[in-house]
Amino acid sequence: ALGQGAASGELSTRSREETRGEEARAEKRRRATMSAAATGEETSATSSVLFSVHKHLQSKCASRSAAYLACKKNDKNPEACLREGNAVTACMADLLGDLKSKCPKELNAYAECMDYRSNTFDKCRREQAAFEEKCPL
Amino acid sequence: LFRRPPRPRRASDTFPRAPPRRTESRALAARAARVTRTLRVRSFRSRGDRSVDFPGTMTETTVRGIKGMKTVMDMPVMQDGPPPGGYPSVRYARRIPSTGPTGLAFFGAYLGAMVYGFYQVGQGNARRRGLKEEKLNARAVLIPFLQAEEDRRYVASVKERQKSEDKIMAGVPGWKSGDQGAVYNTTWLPPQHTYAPKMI
Repeated sequence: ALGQGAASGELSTRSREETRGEEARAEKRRRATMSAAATGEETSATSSVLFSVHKHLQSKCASRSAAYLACKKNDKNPEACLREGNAVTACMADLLGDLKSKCPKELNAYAECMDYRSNTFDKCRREQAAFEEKCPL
Repeated sequence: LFRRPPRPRRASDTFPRAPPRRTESRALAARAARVTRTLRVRSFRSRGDRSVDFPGTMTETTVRGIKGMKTVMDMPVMQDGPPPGGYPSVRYARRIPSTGPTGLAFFGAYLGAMVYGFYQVGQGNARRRGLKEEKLNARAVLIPFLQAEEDRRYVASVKERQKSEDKIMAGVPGWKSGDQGAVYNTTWLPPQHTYAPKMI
């Protein structure tokens, strides 16, 4: 985007917001076709974060997970289930982005508590309650 | 379930002392309480035993004397003696009443404590089972996400390996990189997978 702006020194017919919007759409299209690893942007969610959001994952990504597991049961070869795997990871990435936008503080607090308590659910009930109140299942 | 101490019924049952009679008047009881020790007075003259209640001490009598005393021989010899009716008997017999809860009551208490304890153990077990279930459920939910990541990484690494093998064996004629389905063609197994018994 920067290169494009620098190359065309004069005022273009299109507005800056329009170009930016088009670039974002192109990026999204590119991401949809490629896997998360290929884009080079694996979600860096630690175990504590995953354990914190496991209930949301269960409720929102149940169908995709079931599809992936069914594919795996059919054929254990990793190359055979890449598409379902990408769908599953995309669901997780979407969910994490959604939660980070809606209740970042509660999620961070819960994840930090889980990290401190080595993923023991019983020791983070207060943070869990606050998180699930802010971002219900 | 609970035993009270037995009530004494007869004088002989309450050895060594009989219980106080309830018909005794208050004045008499008060006087008996006051006069705890009397002096048995008698003189050396063979006049018989003049046991008289004489309020006083030997020292007083020797110093002041008594009325009508002519010689020392007339001086009464006062002896410290027992009160009228004699001293009360000293109880030396043991009295260990069998009171308090019975054996059945104790067993009942033990049984109750054990029942409550086992009930609490069961509650604790149920609670721990719930926590374990929560943990296992969380792990089960997360497996597909982690496995998908690992799948992508594995596939990428296999491709990388094949590429490097191609590069290394570029000059060798008729060399095909990869395992070429050398082991299993129908089922896919992870590398270094065996059905042999494992040491660890």
